Amino acid sequence: MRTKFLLVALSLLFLPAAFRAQSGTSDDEKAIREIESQWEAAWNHHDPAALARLATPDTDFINIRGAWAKGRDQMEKAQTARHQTTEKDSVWKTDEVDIRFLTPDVAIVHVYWFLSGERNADGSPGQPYLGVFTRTEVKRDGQWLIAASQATEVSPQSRSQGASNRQD
Amino acid sequence: MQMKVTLLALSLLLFPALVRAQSGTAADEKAIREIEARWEAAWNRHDVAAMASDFAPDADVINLAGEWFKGREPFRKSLEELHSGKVKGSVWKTEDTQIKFLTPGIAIVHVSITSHGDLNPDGTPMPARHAILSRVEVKRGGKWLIVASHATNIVPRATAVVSGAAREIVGQ
Repeated sequence: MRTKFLLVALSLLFLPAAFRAQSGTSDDEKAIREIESQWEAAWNHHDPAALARLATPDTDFINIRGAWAKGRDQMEKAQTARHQTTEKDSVWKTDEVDIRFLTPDVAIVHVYWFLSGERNADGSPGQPYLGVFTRTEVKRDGQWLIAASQATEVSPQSRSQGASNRQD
Repeated sequence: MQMKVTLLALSLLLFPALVRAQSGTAADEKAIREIEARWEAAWNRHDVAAMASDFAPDADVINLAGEWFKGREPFRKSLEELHSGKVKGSVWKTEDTQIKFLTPGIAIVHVSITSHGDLNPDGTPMPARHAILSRVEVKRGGKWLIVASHATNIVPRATAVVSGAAREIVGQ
């Protein structure tokens, strides 16, 4: 009994240290969430330069159609083309941000978002959809940036199984 | 002049160390490529346990349908379902694997793949598809493991934005 109590007490003592080793500070969390609010704002202002500023120079950016922009410049160009055409009037709404630190300087970030007002290539209105990003973010010189990002549309089938069919 | 030469010499001396800090060894690259070779072989013999074996117990997997599996076990279950149904005759081909080390123990891995022999939900044959995977891999106890994986179908621009329902959903 007493040993058990001691073990529990000891675990409680070491738990915060073990946890810290795998996690960023609340400032890091805040900075990472800030990336997503800046993303949303930049998207809705249709400002590709502001979107690109959130990524590392060597970012790998794979969009919802599986198109791969290699590096921040390519990403900005691709976003510019889209925001002049299909995304001209689209509205981004970030729904959920989930952060997992691999080290204090590397995090995996899952983001769900809604996109509406998109146009098809022929100019007709597209369907609103729910999307999901897996982003890998790194802290460089004190600043969190997107080192890699990939997007997938959440299929209506998965979506209809619940607002968050996320296998919790 | 002499100062410059000294600085240059110092940079050259320190440069390899700096580069190493950001990159894995050839053995790490090999181990990461082997994960993809094992995945391909396991997929093609529909061996679900082998497919799941290179994932960390706490892996986050997002499949082509945008479903998020939190952990190796729920992901393995979904593979089991797929391989007894829609992808039981599927043939996977890894076309390209690109590795970017964030630290010596963390890598981002992009894998381009094609597959054929998949079935639609109604059992009719699905056309061959191209897809891309982003994986995040970490070295734990000397072994590389997939801690996150995210799959996206490569869809030509003209048909891309038509409707979510038009996109096929199958596989990883």
